Amino acid sequence: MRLRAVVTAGLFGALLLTAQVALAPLPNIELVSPLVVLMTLLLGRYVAYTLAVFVLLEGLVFGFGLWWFSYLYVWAILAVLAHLFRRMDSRLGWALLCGFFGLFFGTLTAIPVIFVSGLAAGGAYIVAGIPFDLLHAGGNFLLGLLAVQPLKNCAAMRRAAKFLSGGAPV
Amino acid sequence: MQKTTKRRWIMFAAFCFGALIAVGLVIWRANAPQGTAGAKNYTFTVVDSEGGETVHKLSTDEEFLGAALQNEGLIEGEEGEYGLFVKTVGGITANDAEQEWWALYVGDEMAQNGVDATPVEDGGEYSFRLNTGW
Repeated sequence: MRLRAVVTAGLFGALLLTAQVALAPLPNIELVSPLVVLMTLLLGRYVAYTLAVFVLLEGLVFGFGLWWFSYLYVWAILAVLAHLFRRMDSRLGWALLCGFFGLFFGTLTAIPVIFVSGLAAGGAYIVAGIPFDLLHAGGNFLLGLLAVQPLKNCAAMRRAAKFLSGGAPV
Repeated sequence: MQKTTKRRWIMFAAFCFGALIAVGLVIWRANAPQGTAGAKNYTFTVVDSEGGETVHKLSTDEEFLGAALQNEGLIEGEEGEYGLFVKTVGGITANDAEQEWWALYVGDEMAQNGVDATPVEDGGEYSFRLNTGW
């Protein structure tokens, strides 16, 4: 179980980076949030390996700037929320979870700015980012609505969960 | 938890989501940078990677710094999702391979908006400083 989950989790980290880079030209429309939710539902606590690989790759590709420190916790927060709501069986509920995360993404990433530049600079950072947060919220809501619940319920997801929990190969 | 109760919680969450988006829109509109019409004199300084300064005394009728500096031929860049991404200032191009990037300052403070959304004020002091390292 452990080896399968760890190896899969590492590969999922690389998949997250690919998904992030593929949609990078679109302003704050991203597949990473719904994928992190789905991967959390699939891997449980092993998603920590996925996030570690993803965050490290992000730093190596884009540089370890101030923004990178926020990546150390923002995706973990989403994973914890997804794990807490893992029994939720509502398409709208998952869309809202992804949407709220998008809406507060800028506020969460402002924490390192507040530490480095002060509360006023952090507040200005949050306000300047509002249009991008709104776009992020809308995109996440839509992608969450379209992807999370249908994929959570699909047969392939159930087979993958069985495989990762030590069942027969898919 | 009963199905009806769950549905109520989700509807409440949906209401909060909509309300927060509306509040965000209001805050954003209220804090959107406002330019002022009319002629303005301002100082623009280019600081290179070794700290060398080139000072320009300029005037413009433009409301925002991006358009004013582009009209003067002092900045060039690429239009992106967040507005103009400045790559060249005063003929000096930031070298990506060296992790160089241009930082905009209003007075002594780093600008909170991009150059496109930074209003030009009469008597204002602006600078682009070439930084190394992301």
